Amino acid sequence: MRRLSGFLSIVGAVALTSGLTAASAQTPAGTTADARAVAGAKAYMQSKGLTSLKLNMMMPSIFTAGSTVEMANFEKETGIGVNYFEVGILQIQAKAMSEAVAKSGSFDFWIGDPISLPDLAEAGLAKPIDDLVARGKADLDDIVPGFQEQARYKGKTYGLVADGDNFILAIRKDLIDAPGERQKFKAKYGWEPGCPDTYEQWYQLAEFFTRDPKGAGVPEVYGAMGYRARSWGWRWWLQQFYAKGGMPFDDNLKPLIAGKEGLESLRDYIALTKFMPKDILGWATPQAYPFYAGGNAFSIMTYPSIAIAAEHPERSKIVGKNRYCLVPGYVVGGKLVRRSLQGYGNIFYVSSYAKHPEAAYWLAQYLTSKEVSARLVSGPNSVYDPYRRSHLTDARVIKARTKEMVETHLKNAQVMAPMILIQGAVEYNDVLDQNIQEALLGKITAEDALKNTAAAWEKITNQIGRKQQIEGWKAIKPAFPTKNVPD
Amino acid sequence: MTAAGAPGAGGLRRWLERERVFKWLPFVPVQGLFALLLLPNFLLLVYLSLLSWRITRGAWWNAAFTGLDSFQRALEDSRFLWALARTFAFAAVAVPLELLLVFGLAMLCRRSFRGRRIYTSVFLLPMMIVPAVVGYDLSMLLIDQGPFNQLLSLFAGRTVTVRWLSEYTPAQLAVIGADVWQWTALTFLVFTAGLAGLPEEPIRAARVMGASRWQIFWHIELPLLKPVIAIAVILRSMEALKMFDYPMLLTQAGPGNATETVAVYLWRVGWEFARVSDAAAMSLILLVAVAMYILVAIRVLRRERRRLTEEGAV
Repeated sequence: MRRLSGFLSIVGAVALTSGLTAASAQTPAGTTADARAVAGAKAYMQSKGLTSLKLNMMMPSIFTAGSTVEMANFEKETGIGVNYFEVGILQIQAKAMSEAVAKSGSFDFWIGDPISLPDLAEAGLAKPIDDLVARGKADLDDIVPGFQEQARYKGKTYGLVADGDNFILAIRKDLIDAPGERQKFKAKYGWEPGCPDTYEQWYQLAEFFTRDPKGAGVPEVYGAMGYRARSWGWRWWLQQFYAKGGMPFDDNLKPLIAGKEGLESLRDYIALTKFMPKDILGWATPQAYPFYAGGNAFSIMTYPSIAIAAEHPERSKIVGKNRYCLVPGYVVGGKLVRRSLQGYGNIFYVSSYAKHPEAAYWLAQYLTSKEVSARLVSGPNSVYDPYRRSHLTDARVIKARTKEMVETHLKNAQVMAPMILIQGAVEYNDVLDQNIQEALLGKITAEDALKNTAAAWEKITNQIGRKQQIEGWKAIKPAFPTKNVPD
Repeated sequence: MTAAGAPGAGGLRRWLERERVFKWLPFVPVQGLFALLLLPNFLLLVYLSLLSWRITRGAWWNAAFTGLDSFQRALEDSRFLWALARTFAFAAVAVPLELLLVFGLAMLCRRSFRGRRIYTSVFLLPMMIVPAVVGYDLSMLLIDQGPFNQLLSLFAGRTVTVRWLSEYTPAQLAVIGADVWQWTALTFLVFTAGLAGLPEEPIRAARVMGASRWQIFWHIELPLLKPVIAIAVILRSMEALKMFDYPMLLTQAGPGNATETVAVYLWRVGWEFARVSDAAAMSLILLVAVAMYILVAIRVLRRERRRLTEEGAV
């Protein structure tokens, strides 16, 4: 009898264990991705015999304020909380790279940009999550095409996109509608002022609306703003270059940037800078957003979260005075070509050395689900930008951002091009950035800046291995838009 | 002696008591720990510099041995050479500037006056602030319409707009200024210690013979302070050559590469570009350059000590 009960308890234990394993390998119950993420997380906790768990997360400091409430909600439901450590947004890559060497498991997951993905995937830090995505049925179909693709590398999914960071142009409609301004503008430039179709038109708007009544060189209103600072400025040029019809490489990874498209777009990029604040070379988001929201500029090309700053009831002086525009373009071969760049674009990555990779994935799926992402995007301190079709109709998102902004932003996404997402991306982009800055400062000519970049790119390609780089480039090419302008 | 020829207990004691041996004994634990902690890392660094390892290419022990290729690449990398030159130039401006400031401050604080201790403490405060905080605070103070330009405008009686963070030379001055502001305190500390240790006799004798304050300083105190100056220069140069926080926080090492120091570039090459072998080779080149500089400084220091000893001043 004792033997029989012993045998039965062993059978029972085996059955329970295999049942739990099977349960954790199945798609968790739930009709929505966030419900499935919660169910998956609970099943994971049960299978590990845990009641509470703290995941370690690395995140850019700028994202903390907008993220913690939803992380706390997930912890309430599942017992899985987050110890996050903040890192400057531009230092994420280096920190992650050091973990790729140390393999310490010091963090389970992190928020990073797509540029770092190729290197971190090759270094073995970013963990492919295709199996978890399939199991959790993360609702990727709702994501506007082009965003999630940037979390893929050589055919594998490495992350869940959390942020639609393609650029948008905001202009001041109150200044255009001021008495007599439209007529004066039309008389001077021959077209009705409004959202510019081309970079030339944006230049004309910037020139006209720069207000410097004292003539002291310190305008009351600057005509344009964009990013020109080290580590940021190159993204704004790349967008312009793409619109000109340029591509960084040919199929053999020979650089193409030093051609006509590169040179003309760089000259235009430099020329527009004269309508920007004089210390724009030192500015990024923390300086640019309050400056624009303070009513000090006519236009700004930036991330979509500008709407949070510009429409903020307490912090902005220009609430309701903005118009959100499609990104301008160039006329190429008689047709207008607009290109928007995914200029940062946060992605949740899971570490290969995570102590609890599955738990980290469930939290990422929860935060990027339709419902929770809408709450994140519409939060008062959020810098997460809309990236789902459902954000278009979500009342909370529209209230925080304005309907015009969300619609325009997601239209821009139809012509969104990726950054240079191949191995060594950070180095390719850094060299480009450095040379563009030197040209902006007048230290070298635009032509030399592009020639220097092309030469340096060749060295990088040869050092990493051309064959491998060609493969990487082929894999990213389908992510480039085929439409000239959005529908 | 035992049969095997090893010294017995008494022999060992006698050997340890020899002055030549005994004077080194206190250093053994420290040097042993030092070797234990640093030597393996250093040897690994040397080994990595001889490979062609990128973090994206698997484990370092599988990387191909390419001899001196990384060194050749480093010496052909104009950005590295410029960063090296720029860093030495920053140190060459910052350190003498700190010395000049410290001369004034140390002489001031040498005199006895009310509140001297408070002033001394205040002068030392910057050194106790984390460099990252200094960099961040200065990035706010130095913006175009920020407090620093407003202060300059007040003195100039007109609007002064120096683009500290977005133009080439002002950005370099801002980085040097940050270093001077923070680390003058350390030099000040070394100097006050040096001044306090000056022998009284020659100074008193000069005073009796009617020498002026300036003559005493120039002919007696300054020569006696030379070893202290040399130590301050060595310490501060070593720190200045590692400058990382200020350029990163103030300008991201820009505009262009205006403030890219060798420490910033090494960090980029190693951790952003994943070229660890290249970074290892560059850091060894930097080590040689710094070691040569320090050797020269130590030689100068020794010569001064010898001279002062011969003159009977110390």
